[in-house]
Amino acid sequence: MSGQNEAVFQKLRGALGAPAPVRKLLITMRAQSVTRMDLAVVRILLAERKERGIYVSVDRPDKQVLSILEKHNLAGPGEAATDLEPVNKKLFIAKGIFSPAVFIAELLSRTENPRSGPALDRELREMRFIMVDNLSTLSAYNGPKGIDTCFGHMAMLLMRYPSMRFIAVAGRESFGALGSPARSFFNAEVDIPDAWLME
Amino acid sequence: MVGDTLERVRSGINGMDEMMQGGFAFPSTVLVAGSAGTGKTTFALQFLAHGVKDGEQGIFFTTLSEPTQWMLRFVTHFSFLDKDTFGKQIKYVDLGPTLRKDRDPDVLLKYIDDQIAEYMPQRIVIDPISVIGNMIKGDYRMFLYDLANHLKNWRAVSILTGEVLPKEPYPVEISYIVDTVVLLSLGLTAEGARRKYLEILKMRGTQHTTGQHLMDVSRDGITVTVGLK
Repeated sequence: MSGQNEAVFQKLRGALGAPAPVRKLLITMRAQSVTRMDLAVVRILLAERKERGIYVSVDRPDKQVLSILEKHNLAGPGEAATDLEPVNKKLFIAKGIFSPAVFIAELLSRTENPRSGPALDRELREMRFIMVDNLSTLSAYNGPKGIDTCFGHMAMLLMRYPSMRFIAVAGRESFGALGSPARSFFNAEVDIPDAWLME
Repeated sequence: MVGDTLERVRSGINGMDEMMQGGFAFPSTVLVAGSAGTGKTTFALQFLAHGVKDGEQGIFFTTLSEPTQWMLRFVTHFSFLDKDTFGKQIKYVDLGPTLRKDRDPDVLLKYIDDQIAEYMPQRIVIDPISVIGNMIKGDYRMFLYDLANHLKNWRAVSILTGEVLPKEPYPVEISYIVDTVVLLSLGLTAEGARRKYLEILKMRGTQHTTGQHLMDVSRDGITVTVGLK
């Protein structure tokens, strides 16, 4: 690995391992690097930090995300799932197309189910992150109200599960289209230099 | 403003980005159509080579036109192509063997998916897409629809090149499933000289220049002169 790449990974490791006050981390870069950055973040969270969590893609089918992670040895057989049941997987890949708000609302509602809710609630309390990839594309599918709803639901989830943190990967140029409340939602930000993809 | 939430990647075609708000929408699918000799393969290679300059990776899928090594031998005189990028930043994949062996569209899609998943390029070319219609079993239009969806989900700009048949202005079936249609054509000037032209027929989410514009192919690749007809 080159010096430039190693420096970026160190920066990422530092941000992803930051102490508790950092619960809402935004990682920005040029849009062409987002897919590779998703993998880099998952690699650090799962393989290095041994954390469990949720992966939500705003613009890709959950099964495709799973196949990419498998292809890159980030989710071995039985380690990730696309159906959320209390199954003790390392990673749950959620359907988040158009907005993670729909998924989060469904998730919170399922924890209220008297029969299956408690087990799901226990599962979620053990999770350390919810990651949303390509967050900038929210603005392609949602107006200001929809974007507010998404961040509102995310805040609710984080409040209910204090051990979980929110990590968003987003294209730098189009992130502005989400409006200033989106940026102020985060309490830490890392920007990845364009040269990162070149190495 | 139209397209203000879309990211853009530069096409690499000299003069073309000014015609389309700075570049192709990222991600998107583009049909580059034209008859033989209009510069479709050159367009596609120039697009991939420019991606390398911007630090991106590309995949060039050939179908059944000619073996990759022969195609490359004829295009390496272009100054924009760096031979050291072959097989590294630009990966060449021949779909011919898969097409001949298994004419099943699902098998072909899975093969394409696997190649892309492994390499994760930001730029993809399938050259030419139009011959696949005669090769696969089943519904070609459904295959095209699935292919376009798969390609967009990969978050890349994908160029599909298509042969124009004598009785149609461009490959109509393919034009429905792509975001952008670029037509390359030949024409005669009033003095009888043969000229090449580029026209953006369709571009979703983008304000683009319309009409035919003079296109020149030199050692430096394709250059479009907007306004010259």
